[in-house]
Amino acid sequence: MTPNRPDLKRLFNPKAIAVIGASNREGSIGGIIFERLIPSLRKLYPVHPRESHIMGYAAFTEIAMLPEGIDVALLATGAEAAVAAAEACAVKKIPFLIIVAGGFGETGTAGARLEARLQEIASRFETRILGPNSLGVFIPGERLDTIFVEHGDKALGNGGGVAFITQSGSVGVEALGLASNTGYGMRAFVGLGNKCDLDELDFLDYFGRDPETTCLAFYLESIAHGRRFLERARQVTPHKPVLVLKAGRTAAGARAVSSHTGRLAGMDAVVSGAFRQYGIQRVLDDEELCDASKCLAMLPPARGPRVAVLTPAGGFGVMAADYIEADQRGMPLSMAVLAPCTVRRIRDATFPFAACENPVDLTASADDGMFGRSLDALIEDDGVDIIICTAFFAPPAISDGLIAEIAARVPRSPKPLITFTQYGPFTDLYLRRFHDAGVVGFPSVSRAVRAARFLVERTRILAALKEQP
Amino acid sequence: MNTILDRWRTELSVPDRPDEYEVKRLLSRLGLNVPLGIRIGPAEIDGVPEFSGPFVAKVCSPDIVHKTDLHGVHLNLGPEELAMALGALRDAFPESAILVEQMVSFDGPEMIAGGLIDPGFGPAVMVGAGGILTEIAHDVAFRLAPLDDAEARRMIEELKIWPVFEGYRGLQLDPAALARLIVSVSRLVDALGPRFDQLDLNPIVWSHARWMILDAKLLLHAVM
Repeated sequence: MTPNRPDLKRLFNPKAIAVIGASNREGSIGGIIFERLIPSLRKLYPVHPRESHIMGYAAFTEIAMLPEGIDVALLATGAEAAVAAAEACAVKKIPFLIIVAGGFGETGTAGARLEARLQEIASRFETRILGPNSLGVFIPGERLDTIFVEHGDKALGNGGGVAFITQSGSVGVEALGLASNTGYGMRAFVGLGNKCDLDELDFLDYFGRDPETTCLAFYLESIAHGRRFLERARQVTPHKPVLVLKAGRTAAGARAVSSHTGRLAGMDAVVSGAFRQYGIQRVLDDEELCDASKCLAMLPPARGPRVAVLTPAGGFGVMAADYIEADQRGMPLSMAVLAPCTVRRIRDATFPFAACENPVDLTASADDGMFGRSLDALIEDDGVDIIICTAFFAPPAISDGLIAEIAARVPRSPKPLITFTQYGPFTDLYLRRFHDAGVVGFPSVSRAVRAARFLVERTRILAALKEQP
Repeated sequence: MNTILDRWRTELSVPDRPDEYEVKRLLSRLGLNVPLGIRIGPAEIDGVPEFSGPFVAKVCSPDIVHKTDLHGVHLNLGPEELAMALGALRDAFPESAILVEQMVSFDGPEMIAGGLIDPGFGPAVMVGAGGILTEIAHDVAFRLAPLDDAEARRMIEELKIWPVFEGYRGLQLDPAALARLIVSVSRLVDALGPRFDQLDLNPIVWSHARWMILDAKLLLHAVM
């Protein structure tokens, strides 16, 4: 019989944390993790065989001596020692273990045997294991962070709506870095590691129900229970977007296949089809995963595919139009045809010489207020489903006030508003300022247009889910 | 469905290795359209079809995968040409049966549908642009089995050739009927369970206001 399973809430909001392998030694992983946990303001219990204190906290020589009521134990020892420590923690009834140590299934048969012992511990006790080979968790809203490598944590500190669940630690932290450059709202980061016990299904269910999560983003190399993952994802997708970056081709290509159907499926086309069927949005690399989750977590779905482009530079308007009209991702977009009154309103608000058809080119003479009033006209035009606004700060009449001017429209707009900005070496800085003001921005035309496609894809998924019985 | 399958399996000349004729009989019992046809065994005297021509004669064996490449398919035959084609097939494939079918005329593109087992997700179905160029065009959509009409319809709408279903060049193809065919395929794949390996229906053509399956291949696993 499966033992009772503790609520994952205790993993993500622990009151007391033990760190096995905490150390005063400069540069040791156990030391770095312990130091990172100090700002979390939780009760911390270092375990070390000899030291009496770790960074000023009273240390325990043995797990058995730890007090009751510990929610999470982090195991930052070698693989062998981690197995013994895991058993001691399980006996101690600590509900969650995060095993940072590598040297398990990923290294060969000896490591796989150690991992099997962890699995056995998780099945025998009421203790659940994250990892091994896991970076642990990072919950900006709780100031809880166990990641011992650089990952843009300061830029992500304000939190947000994305639950980011990754099987690869390295892809995970690099993606976090990428996301943090341009501003990103993170609810939680979870490093799955080798998934000896807790896996993507557990976190799909948890963050699917979590009211603070507005979008789920997964990086997965294997999906443990394929059908079950899809079926449970379909419980979530009507309420929030689920994105999956599934790396690695399926084995279908490698099998002896004598049918057209089998050969046509070789390039994991079945995965793409199955994801669509269950309302999951598939992305192909870390940049897509970050961009898609960023815009889907913050913006309303698009009512349709008609995009209006507002720009102070004609060339970027034309480039945007080209990207919009190109058929990509099987998600067609089109350039919106503006209503005559919209054109008139924009002209009245700007210059007689401004090009007020879509793309709307306000020219480099435009000022902050002209952008704002033009946005108002586009927001109120029923023929526009999505707005892409190019924000350049080089024109003389444009000030940093443009950020507030655009940001003021976001809460009032029932349609998604995506910003594209670049400003030489200051691009990322401005994107983060946009993000902090609640504006979704990207550093290139193509990424801004691609974000619009993710929104239209989400709309289609919602429509298809509604058709299902 | 299961009754039909069980009976059909007991009728196979080689257990779990149906030939094209046998696969088409199964499809026909499931309500799908296949050409009129007779199978003539290697030791049988050439029969005369009860249906009118033109005829198609092809080698009919679960062992021969690429019939066309081995000159195992003769198309558009009148009665005399049929006799000659049968003779040629007998010489080339003395051990094999021959399938004689009524040649079917059709409008529009050749389509393909099929099924397979995905190692991660289990039984799946496919629809796409068919014919001999199917693997070059690579215009296909997959879903897991079983599925409903609406999902099958979305598979077809996903294809690059979707515009041919919207009246392109005056064609009157019925996507809803093709969606129902995909649903039938998905039910078959699902019902075969662990016995199922791979299924190809290629080409499928729009002939006299219905989708007609011109060639069919079904691979099964022997399950004790």
